[in-house]
Amino acid sequence: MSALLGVRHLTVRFGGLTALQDLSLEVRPGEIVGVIGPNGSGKTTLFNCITGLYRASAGSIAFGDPPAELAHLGPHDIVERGIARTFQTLRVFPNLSVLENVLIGLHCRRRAGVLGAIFRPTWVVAEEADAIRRVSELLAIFGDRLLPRTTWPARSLSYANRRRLEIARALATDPRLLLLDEPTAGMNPTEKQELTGVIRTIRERGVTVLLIEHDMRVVMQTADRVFAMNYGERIAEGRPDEVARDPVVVEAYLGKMTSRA
Amino acid sequence: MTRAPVTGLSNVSRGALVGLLLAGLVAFGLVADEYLLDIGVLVGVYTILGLGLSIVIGQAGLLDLGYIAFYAIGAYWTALLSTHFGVNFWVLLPTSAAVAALFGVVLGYPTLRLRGDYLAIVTLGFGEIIRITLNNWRELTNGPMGIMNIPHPRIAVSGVGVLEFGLKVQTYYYFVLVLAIMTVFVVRRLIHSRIGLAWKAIREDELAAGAMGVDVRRAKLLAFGLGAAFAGLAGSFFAGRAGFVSPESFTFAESVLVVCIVVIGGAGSLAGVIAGAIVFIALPELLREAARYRMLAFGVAMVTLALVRPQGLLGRTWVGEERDEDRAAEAGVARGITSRVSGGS
Repeated sequence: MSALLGVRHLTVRFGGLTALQDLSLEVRPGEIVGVIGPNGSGKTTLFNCITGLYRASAGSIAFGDPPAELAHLGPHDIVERGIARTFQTLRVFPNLSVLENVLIGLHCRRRAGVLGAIFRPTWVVAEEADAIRRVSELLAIFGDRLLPRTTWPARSLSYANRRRLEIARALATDPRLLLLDEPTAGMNPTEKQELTGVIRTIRERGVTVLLIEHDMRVVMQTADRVFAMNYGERIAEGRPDEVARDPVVVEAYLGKMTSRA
Repeated sequence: MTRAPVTGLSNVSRGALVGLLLAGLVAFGLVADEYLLDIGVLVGVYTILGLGLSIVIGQAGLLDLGYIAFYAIGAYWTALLSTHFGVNFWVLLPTSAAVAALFGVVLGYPTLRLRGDYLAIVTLGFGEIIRITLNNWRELTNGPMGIMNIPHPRIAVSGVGVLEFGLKVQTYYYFVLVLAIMTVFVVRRLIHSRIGLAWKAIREDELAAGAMGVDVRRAKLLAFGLGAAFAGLAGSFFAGRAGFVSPESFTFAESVLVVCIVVIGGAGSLAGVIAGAIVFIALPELLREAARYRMLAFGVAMVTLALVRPQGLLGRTWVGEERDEDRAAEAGVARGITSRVSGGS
């Protein structure tokens, strides 16, 4: 089967700093691919490139079948083609309700324009009802964590709930590929375990997942493949247990074992 | 569908309230003297302006300090085409809105990348450019002398008769009432629509809005254009009523006044904008007795309001039960920050 996402020879420079160096990565449909690496290794930069927030200095990003080049598209075009993301630094809309936050994710799948808004023909009313139903379905993924709080402003949610809301909002865009940027950061072990289950559920629903995660237990329990980075380059790729044992990866995280007498 | 979370009113009592309010407004037109009606007309005009600007500031979060320019464009479009070409007022009223909307999009385009203070400065500049152009392009606008003898609106129905609006305040009161109700209806539908939600998302976090599939550029231009359209409509009404337009009606101070109406009323709240228009237009007029202390009292009131109710007179209020959750959220944020400091990439 051909790749859903093909990142090829991607290089990103910010002035003199090279954030990504000739990086290539393939994601096949239905996979969960973990992206690991120490702080500042370029994981989030990679996400920002794929989602159109950064422009690559060189290289290409192809998505879909037949593959379409993403490098010159704006963020909203990329979402419309089927890539959604969450943010490591939470970016829910703080003064909008939980319901409204998720509805924003549905924006690109709805069609009502200015005239539709003013005159509200029956198709617009139906579209709205449909959207609300869809939001409930999405929030239900998280059991009763978010469902009882749909009218609450997102800023009043707990930290973990805001992470869940980000995922629900991203799923609302009906993505084929979901990029999760440290979805369990700041969660306690129980919450992490719960989210691990959610990530698997998301895959079962036919969404391919690219996951940046520091917690190796979460990575081990979800990822089919792991892609390890350091200084903007790939240092290892393979099965999670292999990569975790890879000396280069260990060194990147812990530093080189020096043999001092 | 995405109405304010808590209104405290059922649909029925809300409907009754609106009906009562409308009846009151219609009755006011019958019983009030010319002085009060005049104030009523002004409140109506500023309600339309405030509602238009509330799309730009309250919804999309774009601080536009040159909004009055679109009011000027509507007024001058009506003035010029009626005096030079004898175009009917009822053609000019909607086209004024359209022309102002066009200007809104054209002036909005170069500001798309600007935010906050920078956007405010640039829009302020645009507002002044329009006013100074009107002031100095004498061949077209007659400069500071303005344009006189703009025909008043009239409705002629063959076989029934002719309604000359002339200088009768009551007629304009009902006219502006109709326009304001239309504006409330349209703006309300817009802000509760898919597009209104996109505006709010941009206001909250522009980058995240884009990353969630909102075409930020398009949504912003729509906000600028639609907001300007209502100013154009109000400007056309102003020209038709006054029969005279001159650049001094469109100063920066007017822009600030409309911004105050929107912000003090509660950015994003329609009822707040109407309350703001009443407070800012009617109150100073009615306080004329105490003219010397008027602006002082006004200033004190504004500062107090800003301190006591930063969300505005009728800004969005949320369910009260979230206090515990709020504390939990703060703790969560603290946890998040520490975890980010210690472990985030």
